[in-house]
Amino acid sequence: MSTTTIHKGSALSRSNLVLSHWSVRAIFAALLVLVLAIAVLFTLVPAVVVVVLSFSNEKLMIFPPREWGFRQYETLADASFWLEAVRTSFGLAVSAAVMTLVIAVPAAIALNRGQVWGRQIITGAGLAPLILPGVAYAVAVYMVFLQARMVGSPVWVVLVYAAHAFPYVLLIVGTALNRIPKELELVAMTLGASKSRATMNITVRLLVQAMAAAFVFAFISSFDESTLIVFIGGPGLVTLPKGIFDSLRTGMDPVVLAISTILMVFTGILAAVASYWRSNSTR
Amino acid sequence: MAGTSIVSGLELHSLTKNFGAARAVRGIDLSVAHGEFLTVLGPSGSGKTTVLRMIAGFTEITSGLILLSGRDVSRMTPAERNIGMVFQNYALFPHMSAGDNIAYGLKMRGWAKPERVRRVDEMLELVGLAKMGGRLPRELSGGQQQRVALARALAFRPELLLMDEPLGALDRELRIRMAGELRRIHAEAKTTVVYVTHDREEALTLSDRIAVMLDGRVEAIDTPERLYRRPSSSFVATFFGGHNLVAGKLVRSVGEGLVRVNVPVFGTEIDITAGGDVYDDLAVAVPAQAFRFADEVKPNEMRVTLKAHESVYMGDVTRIVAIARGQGVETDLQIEVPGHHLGAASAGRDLDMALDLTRCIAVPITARVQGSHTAEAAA
Amino acid sequence: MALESPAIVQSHQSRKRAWRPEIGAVPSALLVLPFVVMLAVFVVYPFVRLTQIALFSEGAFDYLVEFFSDSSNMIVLRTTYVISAIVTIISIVFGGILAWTLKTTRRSTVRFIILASILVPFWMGTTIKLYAWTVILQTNGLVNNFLVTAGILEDQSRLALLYNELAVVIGMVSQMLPFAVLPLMVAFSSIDLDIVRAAEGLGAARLRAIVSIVIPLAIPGILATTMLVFVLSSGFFLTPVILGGITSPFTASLIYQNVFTFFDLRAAAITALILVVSASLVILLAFKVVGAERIRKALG
Repeated sequence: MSTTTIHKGSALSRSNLVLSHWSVRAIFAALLVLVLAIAVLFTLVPAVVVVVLSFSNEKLMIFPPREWGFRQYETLADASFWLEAVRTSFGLAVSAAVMTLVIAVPAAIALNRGQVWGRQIITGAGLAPLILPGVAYAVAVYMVFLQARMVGSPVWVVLVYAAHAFPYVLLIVGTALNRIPKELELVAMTLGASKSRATMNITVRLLVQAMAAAFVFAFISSFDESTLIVFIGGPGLVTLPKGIFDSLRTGMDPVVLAISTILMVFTGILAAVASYWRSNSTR
Repeated sequence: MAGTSIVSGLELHSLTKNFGAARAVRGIDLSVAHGEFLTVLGPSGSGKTTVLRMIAGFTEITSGLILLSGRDVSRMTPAERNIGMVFQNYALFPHMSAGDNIAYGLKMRGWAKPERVRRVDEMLELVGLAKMGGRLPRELSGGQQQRVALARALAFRPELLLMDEPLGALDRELRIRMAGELRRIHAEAKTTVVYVTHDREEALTLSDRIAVMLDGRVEAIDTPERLYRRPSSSFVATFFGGHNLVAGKLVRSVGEGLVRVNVPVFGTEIDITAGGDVYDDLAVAVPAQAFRFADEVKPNEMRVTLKAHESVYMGDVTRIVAIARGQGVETDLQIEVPGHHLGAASAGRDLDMALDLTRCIAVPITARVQGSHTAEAAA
Repeated sequence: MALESPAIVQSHQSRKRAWRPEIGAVPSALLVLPFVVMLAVFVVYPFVRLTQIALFSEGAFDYLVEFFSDSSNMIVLRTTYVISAIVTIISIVFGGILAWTLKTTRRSTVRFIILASILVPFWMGTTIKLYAWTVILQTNGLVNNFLVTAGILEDQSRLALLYNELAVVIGMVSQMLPFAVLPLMVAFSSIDLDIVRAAEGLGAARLRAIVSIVIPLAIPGILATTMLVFVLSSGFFLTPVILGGITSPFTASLIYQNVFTFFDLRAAAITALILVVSASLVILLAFKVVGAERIRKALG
């Protein structure tokens, strides 16, 4: 744009045009920086605050801390309440993720490759927990838990978490299935494999990474789940998010920051691995 | 059975496939000899792929019989049929090396490890990929992947090799080279091959015989040469031969396979060979190469005067689109004459040409069946 | 014998049946069955139960009339939808700019910062994020302490940043913004940058190029994302309760109070049902406008 101006325009108009071009660019760049700064503020600052303050040596939440150190991490080793909460969350999340895979992967395969009546409706219902307003779903499930007198039952919570994680399997495994040509199984059968053997050797084998990714997503979503548990967990079943929720209302225990920092690193690594698997699963 | 002298490699008896109300394949009878290379050629929606899938066992047959070396395989699983298959998208197992892909069928059929290794090397050698066995499919080019797919399909010595447009995904140059490779590999492996394509040139270069399909039926089956020289219907003449069609009316049979035909656009009656059972209304298949520039005509030739519409020089031939007019009828004709004739055939000029009547064939006009096109789409 | 013969005929017929490569109707049904049962019990039935309690229990009609004539309930609903809309607009605009910058920028630092701001929030649980925002916004929190230390504020006149609508908006945007970026990136992925550059070359101003070419191409994806963000925003629970306070005028807080303070399940059910109905309407609208496939893509 500027080169054509130089060839055509007079000296005066040329400098004007170049100037206005530059000022537009500068405003644009400044705006971009501003937007980026705000976005970072909204999304990254909470993480930074958590990590930085986890190295405060104060007994209570005081800012700025007068002393820095590893006190929160040392306290954590004896904080049986929090360790128990982490253990509960971990147990529920692993069980739910396993259950999700066991139930939803065969369904995803049948929905994708088989003759299923009402395919659209089933898929829609399977995705519903991810799309519908979370609090409404939690209240609805709570009503059923009250009716069945199952509030606080870990088994029932696992079942709900499993159903709650179905969308991840449908989306991740379903997409991977779509990208596996149907001809692969057919060819395996002409080569002498039975239908079930071809499915296991080829399709299921090619789904392994997608299933692993779905497992991790299901695990993280159950581990971090904080709305349902407030209702269906009752007072007895304290997961980590439930414990943090309670602590936010009763008084803020800075040990939470240490746990959160450790979990962020842990989750970050898991998520990175899962994303790699997911992108790899469809090659 | 012992008394039967010759058993075909593959036989289809009134093979039929309906998808709901749509009739994709309408009772096909076909016999392929041992070691023969048969191409099934047809436009999309003609049912050729459905036939192939029924032979492979991927699609349930509605009725009919499929005999493989005299053995009824109609209701067997693909694994029991002993048929090799090559798909257009190669369908290589992406998580296995080229060698493991080839070995898969041997493993499924319980070959011992040493024999497997030997056979895989042999097959890699055959398709010209020796020492490439360790590569994953994504590390191979399209042509190389196709060779691996072929080696995999042949490794377990199937009685029949099915190929579904195997060269369709390759570029033109590679396609020609791979076609040559296919001929060589077929000659070496001596397997019966059924090859499905919509590409006329592929069919011509590869096949011993060609079955031309249309609307779920076999319209014609013969050697490439005979299909070209004596098409049996107007569809075969155009789709396979690329010939011109000119409307005509049967006057009478004049013996020795010749019929007298009134061709309004030429304004005369001509005696030509009949390519099929012709009745009242028929078409005359006129090859583009049957014309030559001439002032005088030889015995078996007819003088025609045409008007040039446009012409293109193709290097060895000149391609002319000309208009024939007569008795109030007008027909476009594609003409190919050797040499450079752009000047003589520039648009609007009158062309004095001789038409070789021995190359013109009277053919019945193919009746199209309504609704067949939707059949394969529905499948 | 008379009993056996039909069985023999049947077995003969089943052997005559051709083998099928597809998973047949019966095995498919068996594979899907546990999934469908789980959905029926833990997704479909809860909403049936919710509807039953809200609309078809004894004296439901009178209760509904009472609920809807209570002006505080109406304020709560209005606030929820208005705040959800504000959060949606902010998230889509900022998310769109982030997604676009990520697609076009060649600077690796900018890419890194944007990717970090999308990914890191996914590694934190909701409660941890809310914990952090509480630390930042509370009366003796990060912002106030900074302002006092810097001498901008008197110690006595600390700002009440927490327990108001602004805090809720901040908390919700910090969660929906990264969520919105991913589907917007998908929506932008179909846009050919050469077209944009061609438009620039033709003399159209950069902004106009983006508005006239990029937006129409990306609009179905943007709409799908917008509707999704709005629906999810309307269902936020912990954020309004913690950052807005239990008595804040949000459906989440209303539900929390009705369930845990007043034990009025019917009121909670009605509120939840209203959220479900409005969400369903929005989703239905999205189906009509952009189609199911776009919505599926927006989910990831």
